[in-house]
Amino acid sequence: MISQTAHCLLFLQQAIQQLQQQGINVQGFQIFLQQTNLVEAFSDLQANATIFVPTDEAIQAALTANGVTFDQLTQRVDIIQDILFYHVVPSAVGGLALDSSQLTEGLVLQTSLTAPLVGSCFPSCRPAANEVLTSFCEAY
Amino acid sequence: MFVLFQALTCGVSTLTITRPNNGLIVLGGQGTTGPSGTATAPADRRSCASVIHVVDGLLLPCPLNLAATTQQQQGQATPTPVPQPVPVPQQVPATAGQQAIPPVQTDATGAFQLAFGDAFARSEANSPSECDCLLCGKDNNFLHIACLM
Repeated sequence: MISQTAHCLLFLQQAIQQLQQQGINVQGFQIFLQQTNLVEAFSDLQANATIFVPTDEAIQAALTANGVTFDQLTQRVDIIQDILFYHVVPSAVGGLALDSSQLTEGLVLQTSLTAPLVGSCFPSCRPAANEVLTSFCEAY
Repeated sequence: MFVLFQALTCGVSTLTITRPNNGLIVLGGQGTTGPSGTATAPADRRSCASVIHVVDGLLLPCPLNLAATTQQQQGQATPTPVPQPVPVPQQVPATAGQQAIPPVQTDATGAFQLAFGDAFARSEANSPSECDCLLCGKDNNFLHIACLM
């Protein structure tokens, strides 16, 4: 039996792979997900989330601008986690993820940095800042 | 979709959309300075119920300041490239009650070789929706129990 989450995870992987086949590298984002064990959360079937995925070049530019190495950053799971949450906009109750036509002038989006994803245990079981998230649903 | 990146003010947890003339999409937080890059991002991609937008900037809720909280890091950091590559198809560890997901394989042409037999291929061929049943390709229902029987 293939779980629905596993199904969605496959699609997330497929979407990332398709990006890479088009020369759009998002491996840094993947590493962030893996470091924080948030791959599954970002593939949550119930999330209906709008996810902004930075390219490797975007990550590199930010690191350079801040004088930080990738290795240094990946040692700070708490910071990576905040960055990832800041790239996710949870849906409103009963709402759907936003496509580009819905990203209209003046729209203010509350990110998952403070708002939980609707219909999901993520990130209501979010750990304290200095903890490693071992299983996003473990405490739910 | 095209997205610009703006630097963000520490403590902001919202993103504000600016879209002059309904064209370029700019993401930013309140009190931002100005755009720091341009993007060549393609169209939105759906990952089941979620939508993925590729952006050309890393959105930071705060300036990166590792030195303040990292005791072992000393001296000026030297930027290094993002490690390349991390294999995209990865074995997803099984959790309780779940089956592990084998990696998605590609052949010499880059076409997907399916991790779940040919079910995924049939779904892709039969359905315009990524989230339709894996086996019959219908109903936006992911996987019909009846199809499994």
